Amino acid sequence: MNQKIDAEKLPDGQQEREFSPDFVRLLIALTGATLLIVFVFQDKIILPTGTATGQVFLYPWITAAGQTIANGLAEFSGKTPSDSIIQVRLAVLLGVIFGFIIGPTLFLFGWYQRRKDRPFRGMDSTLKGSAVISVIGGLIIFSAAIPAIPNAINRSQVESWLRSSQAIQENKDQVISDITMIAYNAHQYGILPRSLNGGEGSFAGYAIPQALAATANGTYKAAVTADEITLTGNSAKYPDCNVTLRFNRNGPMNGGTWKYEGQFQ
Amino acid sequence: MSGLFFITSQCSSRSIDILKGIQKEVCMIIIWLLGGIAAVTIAFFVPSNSPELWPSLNMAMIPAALYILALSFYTLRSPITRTARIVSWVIIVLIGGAMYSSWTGMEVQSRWQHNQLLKIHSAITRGLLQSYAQPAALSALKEYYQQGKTKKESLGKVFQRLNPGAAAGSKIQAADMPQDSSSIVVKSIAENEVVLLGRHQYSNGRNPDFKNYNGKTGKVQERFTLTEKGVSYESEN
Repeated sequence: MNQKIDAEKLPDGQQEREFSPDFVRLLIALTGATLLIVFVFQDKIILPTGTATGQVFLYPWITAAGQTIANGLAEFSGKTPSDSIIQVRLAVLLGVIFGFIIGPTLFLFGWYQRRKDRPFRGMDSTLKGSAVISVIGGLIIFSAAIPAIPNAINRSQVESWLRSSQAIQENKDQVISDITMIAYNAHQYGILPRSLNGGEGSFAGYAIPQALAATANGTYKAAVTADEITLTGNSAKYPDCNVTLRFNRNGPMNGGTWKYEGQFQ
Repeated sequence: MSGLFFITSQCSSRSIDILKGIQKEVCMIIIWLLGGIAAVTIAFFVPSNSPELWPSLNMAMIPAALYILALSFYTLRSPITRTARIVSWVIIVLIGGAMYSSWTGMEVQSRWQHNQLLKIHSAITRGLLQSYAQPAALSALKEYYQQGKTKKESLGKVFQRLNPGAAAGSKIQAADMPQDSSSIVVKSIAENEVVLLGRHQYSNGRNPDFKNYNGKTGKVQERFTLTEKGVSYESEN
């Protein structure tokens, strides 16, 4: 008996359609179920290890990214990040095994077997077995793959948004730091005697030293009265952004008021 | 009767053939699964354990990608039609590319955020050290000049009076300074010069090899020198 089956043609010679209505319906149902699992029940996909770190997502790279950021936060708080605990490592490994080994294997073998069994549709057991494994495999790989698509599409946008936000914040911090330096310089001017080029109790006559008046971060101006000084820093990178500090002879740290304009707000 | 026997025997024979085929396919699935799981697991544990998961994950990705390619070549063949095979390969490439992009994007992004956190911490630390040390030094300077032209107390003495217990090597408790990991230490104190060092226990400075005053290496350190001419500031690391 010749077991070789030519699926390109049915025994009666008719051309067979691979994407039959049944297959399309199955695909739609599979996608719908996957989306439901991913977006509605994603928090439930948890390995019952009893620990929060035992979460198994089908996205091991997200777990790894979370770990990297958690390490950063630990260092931020003065803790030395310790080696990854075994539960987390196993959870990540399971994610890879499910998403990249078990899912594709079941799906592709199940599909292949169904195609092979098609001439014997009367044999329900084989049809059901291959259908079940292909559906399970399909669910797993669709769960892992579908969220990756919008993620990949939005990646550059998200990255550029994050970097641009961070760049603005960084520049704001630098301008604040420059203004703080100038403020201490002005405060010192108010303290020093005239013999040492100071104001001897007054801000009158204060001028920002040339080295501090323009930096890579911004340009700075001072509006001076005898008792009060207003420093304005204009960002070099974001010209519509300004930082203003107003303070009196008690110094910038005692009652100084800060104001932010533009994207620095 | 003979016709019925013929049909029955044909059906039985076909069923046995199918069952044999299933057993073979099940064995193949198990072999593929075990091989893939073993390859990924071995690769995953090749890099030594570290706080980061990326080395293990990236190493495991290599056999995983090769496995999917081999599996696709093996299963996407006759009786699956040529059209379906082409469509499947296109989907595999697209989804694979999307997952690779998502994966690498996550790694780049998370590492960037990690570094940003440390940079932000250093910037905050420098700002805090300024805000602790400068007022302490300027208060002493103000008090010193408020004595008038005839100075009864030297700058060093004024500083010690305003910061009781200040001596070389001692910490000073600046106003509003919380008990955290940053501190202002008196490096030296003389009649006309006070040198303060602002330091932090764990905030990283620019040079990882810099030897800090407190014996640590590579941490933030700022230097403030108070003289009669004012306060000069130098960011040492």
